[in-house]
Amino acid sequence: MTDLDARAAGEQVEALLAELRARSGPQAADVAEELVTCLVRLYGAGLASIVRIIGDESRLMALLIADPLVESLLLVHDLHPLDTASRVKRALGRLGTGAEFLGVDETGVVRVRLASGCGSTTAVVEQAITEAAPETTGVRLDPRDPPMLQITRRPAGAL
Amino acid sequence: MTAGLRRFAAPPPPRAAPEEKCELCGEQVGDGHAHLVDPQQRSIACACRACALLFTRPGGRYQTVPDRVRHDRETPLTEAEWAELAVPVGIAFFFINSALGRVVAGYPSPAGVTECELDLAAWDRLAAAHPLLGALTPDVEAILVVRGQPYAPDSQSAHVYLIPIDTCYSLAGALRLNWHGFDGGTEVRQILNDLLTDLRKRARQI
Repeated sequence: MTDLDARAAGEQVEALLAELRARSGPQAADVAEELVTCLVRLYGAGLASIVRIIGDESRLMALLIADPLVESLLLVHDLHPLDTASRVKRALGRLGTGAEFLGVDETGVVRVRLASGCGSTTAVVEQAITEAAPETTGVRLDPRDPPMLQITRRPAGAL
Repeated sequence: MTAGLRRFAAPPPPRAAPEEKCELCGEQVGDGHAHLVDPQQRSIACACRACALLFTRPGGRYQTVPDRVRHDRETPLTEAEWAELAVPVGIAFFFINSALGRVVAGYPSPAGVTECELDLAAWDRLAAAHPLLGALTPDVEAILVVRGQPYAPDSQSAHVYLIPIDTCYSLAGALRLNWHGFDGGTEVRQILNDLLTDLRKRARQI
């Protein structure tokens, strides 16, 4: 693991736990889960202290969240200085597909209206949202407004 | 997707107390469950009642540890006889290891159980004079001897009981966990005292 990031580390941890569960049984795997939890929570508590110490130094905080690794770790521990709505809007803005943020409902599902674009944007939008706001529970894409029908005058002479 | 690590950042659910299960069939077992000894592997396994009943006869791979406790009021172990065994400590248990064909002495200590092989001739002489020693079932029963200060201060002679071998190992475990200082300390004396009280109640004359 040369390029460490929270996503890759998370995937590797899950793969290793699955391997341990298959090889040494559920008891060993449960202990390993507890071990990972213990370490993640320790570093999380450290990050929480760092965020508290930085406090209102917005310039410093902006530098921190500009770093993808630091930002991903802040998201793991719910320590990101921007709220859910701001992060989703920012992520949608970066995508540039014109998707519109409608809100987050009480169950944590993000509602978005897609603008125009090809079909693949659905998946791209969903991924961008879950990465920017992992605390949300899902994405609901509202149907886009039907394109307006262009009414023109029939060319003269046509039937 | 940072969801992978997020699940470890949440406070962990309280850990359920480990359930003790029968190591043969997986059935849940209670506190006072039976144990099976595998004499070849020198291992001991928890067993439910049904599995324990399967291995009460000798000859199989496993043997159920019986729960009888015996003592012999009529022929107590004398100091001279004890000295002949050349056991250097005040708490010891003896059992017949059928795989080795020998008597093994175990001494509980803060480092676990120290074992040594005993002078068989001395043991045989002693067993001839003491029916309690002669009654020992190989691998699954042991003779527990507790003697001298500070472990048995109330008694002139040693406490000698024929007991299930799993009791020896649970005693050894309890002593290892609670041993403080040079002679084990008050907790160790309390544990021994409780065990001896319990054995005194359960013991029948051989």
